[in-house]
Amino acid sequence: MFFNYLKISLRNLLKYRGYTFINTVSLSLGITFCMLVFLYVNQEMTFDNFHTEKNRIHSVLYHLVVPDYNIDSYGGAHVPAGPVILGNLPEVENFVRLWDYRDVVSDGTNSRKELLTFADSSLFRIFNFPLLYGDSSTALNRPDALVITEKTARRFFGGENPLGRTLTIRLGREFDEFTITAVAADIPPNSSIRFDFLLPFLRIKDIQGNEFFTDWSYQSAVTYLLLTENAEPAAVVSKFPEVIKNYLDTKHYQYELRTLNQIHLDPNCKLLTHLSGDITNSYILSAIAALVLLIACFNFINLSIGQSVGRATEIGVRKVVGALRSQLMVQFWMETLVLSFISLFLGIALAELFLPTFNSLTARELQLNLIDNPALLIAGLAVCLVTGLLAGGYPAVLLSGFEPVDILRNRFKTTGVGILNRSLVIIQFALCVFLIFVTVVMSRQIDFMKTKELGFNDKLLLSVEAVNVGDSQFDKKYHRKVIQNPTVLSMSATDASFTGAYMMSVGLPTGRPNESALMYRVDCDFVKTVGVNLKAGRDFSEVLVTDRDRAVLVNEKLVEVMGWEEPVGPQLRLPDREEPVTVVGVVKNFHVQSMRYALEPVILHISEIYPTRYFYVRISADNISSTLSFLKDTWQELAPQLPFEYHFVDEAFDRNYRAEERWHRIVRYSSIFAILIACLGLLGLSALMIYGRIKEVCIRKIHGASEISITSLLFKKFVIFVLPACVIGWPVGYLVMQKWLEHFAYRINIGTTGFIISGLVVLVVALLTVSYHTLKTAHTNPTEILRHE
Amino acid sequence: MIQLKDITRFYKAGSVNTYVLRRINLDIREGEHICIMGPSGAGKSTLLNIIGMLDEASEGEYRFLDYDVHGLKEKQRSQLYKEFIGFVFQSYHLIDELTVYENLETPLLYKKIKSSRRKSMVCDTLDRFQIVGKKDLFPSQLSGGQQQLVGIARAIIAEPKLILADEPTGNLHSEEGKKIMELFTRLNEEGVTIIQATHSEQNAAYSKRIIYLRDGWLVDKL
Repeated sequence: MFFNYLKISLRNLLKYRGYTFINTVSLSLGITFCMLVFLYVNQEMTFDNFHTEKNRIHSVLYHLVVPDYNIDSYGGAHVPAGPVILGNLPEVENFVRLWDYRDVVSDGTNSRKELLTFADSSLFRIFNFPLLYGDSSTALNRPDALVITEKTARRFFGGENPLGRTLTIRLGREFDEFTITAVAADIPPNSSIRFDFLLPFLRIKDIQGNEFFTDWSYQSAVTYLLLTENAEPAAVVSKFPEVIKNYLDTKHYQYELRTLNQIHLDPNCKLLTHLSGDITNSYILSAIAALVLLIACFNFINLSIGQSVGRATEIGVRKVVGALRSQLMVQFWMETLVLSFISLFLGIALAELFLPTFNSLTARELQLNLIDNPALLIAGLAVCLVTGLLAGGYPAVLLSGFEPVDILRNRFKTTGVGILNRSLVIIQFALCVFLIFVTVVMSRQIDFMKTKELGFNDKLLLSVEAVNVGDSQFDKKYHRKVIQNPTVLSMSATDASFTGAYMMSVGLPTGRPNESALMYRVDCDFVKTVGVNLKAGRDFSEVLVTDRDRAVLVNEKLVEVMGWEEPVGPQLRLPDREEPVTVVGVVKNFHVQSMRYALEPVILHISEIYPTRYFYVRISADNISSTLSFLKDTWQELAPQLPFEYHFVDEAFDRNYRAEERWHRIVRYSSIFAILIACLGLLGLSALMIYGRIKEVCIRKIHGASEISITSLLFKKFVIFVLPACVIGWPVGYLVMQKWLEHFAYRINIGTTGFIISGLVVLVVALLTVSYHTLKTAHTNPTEILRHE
Repeated sequence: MIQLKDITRFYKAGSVNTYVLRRINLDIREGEHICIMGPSGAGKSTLLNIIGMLDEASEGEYRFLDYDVHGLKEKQRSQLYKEFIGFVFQSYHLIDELTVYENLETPLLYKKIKSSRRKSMVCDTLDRFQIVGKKDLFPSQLSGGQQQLVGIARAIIAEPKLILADEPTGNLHSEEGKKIMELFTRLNEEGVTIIQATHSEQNAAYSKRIIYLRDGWLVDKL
């Protein structure tokens, strides 16, 4: 019986090739989406699960709460906490601390700033990072030990075994030689801990001095504890206050634990991991995948019902020769299942094809490997089964309910294209309207953020990382040489990047909590170089010695927050100096962060106690490439060992919006998919609807209707779908986008563009889709059709 | 075998009842070969459908073998006709997607007959109807007469006691029609009861008893 069903299914699928094609393509697109999203969600949910002791590994983090100042923050445990906890709590078997730092790595010919990770030697005892070369028990024991990953080894040493080879690494001011003691296998993509260069934890002293290891004030490190077999994490947490009370103010500081597998998705652990996730992304992606699959299922239901007329006789005959309703239902289900299995295979192939795109959209390195990942195959089969049962369910119930006597006596009223089909098409198109609406609003917002006046001139402005931090001689020499080139218009030095995360902030004495200002150390040429506009007062002066420590420039926002009537002249007390400083000038507001964030008060000062971290160079539009090589050559002349790293400020600013752009691309791709699938469905449905009216069309033509009037008559039927689709899609899109825009301090008004574009696109696409069958029908020669009646 | 008593069938069209059959009384014994004749719209097919239990009488009593058909539940009724009745249609109603072999096999599948026995039953029938050579063809590859042959073969394959044929030769030319009627006569001689509805006097000549229907009434003569 089973094979009989299978055989019949395949023959039917072949017979109705067109519909089979539409159904397979749309179902497989739906399945592709689900597969990709499953890969993503599965990785998110199984982060760090490759460590054998994953259930015993916990991360320690501090929770700082100061209600008076609205402070509520989390971070890695204080540096000395690990050893102290191990010494005091018998439940703790071991600990490891990790600390990141960026500095120059050189193999003699090339040097580049790299991410260095300092770790206690227990790292390899607690975590499972397999070594290709070297001994994990001694890998980090030597003070000059260096563990690199396979990928890094390939970069520096090609395919050779690098054990015993050396690399020169700068820690703080001095370069030092490190010997490679081990090579770790490349780190799996689902690891929260990532490293390229692993150095002994104690070597941090080269950068931070020995106080670092006993500092309970502000130094923290990512700290993991390995608890003993039967230890209760809650019991350990309850003992923390007793342990830390000698070092920390336990009124504000609490220590907490997070199990290894919680770290990836916990928003409070963002600082502890190299690759933090957000559960919301999983939800949004799953919702989109479900929507796309739903649209595909709707196609299937629609087309099956539409086709039912053609299959009525078969159903009637089968019933007359003895088929039970249940047997017919099984048969129809079988057909759906065969179809969804074909779609599954096609879906897997498509998923493979789209994986690189999906990876770049989600910024992940997902792999589609069915053999290593049986969960994926099971999920695929489950999706396929559920789809088959759901999509096939209604048509199976409906078709198997036909009464044979009606069919065989031609008294059968065609179910054809009914209310249900129409509603499903409307829902499909409502989803399309929604997705297009979201795409349009997102792209307008991104565009708005990218083109909004920043308050300074970000074009042709170069930011050069001053890797030789603290050597003011170098800074001055470089500045002097560079400024001589006529294509370099101006140059300035600062202690923080505009676009980077590091910024120093100071509290403002407004009487209200949480009022603070960002503080930048700049130099006399800053205003000119960056192109900030002076609104009142004067710029810093080279000649006035008092400007060095006692003068600041502030922005309009600070004036507003302070409520100064006369902005030039007031004095401010800064925490880092004894004497108050005087505001000598006010600059217009300028954005130093993404438009997500509101403008903040800014203080500019030129005190040289803060070392230069960035040079800002304004160059002329002529000969940009030779200017760049001049900057680089000059750099290497002065510091041959140090890499020259730069970026254009406008590009860096645009990178602020990478997350938004990624989401925009995801939604854009989804809407294209959704429209494609919905159109396929509409194409099939329009064929069925128009086929049902072909006799009417012929009779009209015989009585003198023109092709145009016939075409518009048929078009009208489909235009009716678009209006309710918009009525459903628009408000949902509006609400969702309203919510999304709330994340941005600077945002667009939703306006009418989104409504117009989404409505028009869906209308035009729907009309184009149905025009094929419509025009064909309008062209039909009526005698051809009526002769058969 | 069949007793119809005051069988009436009407359809509701708005508030008016349209009568298709009126107070039909009929006795049919096992082994008969009966022909129902009458003009279009006389109610021939409706009567056949009621006898075949595909349709239900609006009023009246119907006994088939020892069962009160009018008192049976839907499911029992369909069990009954599956067991004892085979249908032959004017437009053959073969399943287009299935070969001749598979069309014959279908009723046996639904009767859950085991594979090996099914195979031998289908082969016997193919043999008996001399269509072995056609077993892998699809209906569209056969002539009308051949299709009807398959239709009849499918009707008798499960060894029914009664065959109901609605205009079995209506779509065939006379030579093919003659062959089909000869086949029915042979089946009747083998003991199968046959009731056919027809327009054709020629076909009627093959049967032993003729029933006339006009406007839903059973009449003696047309």
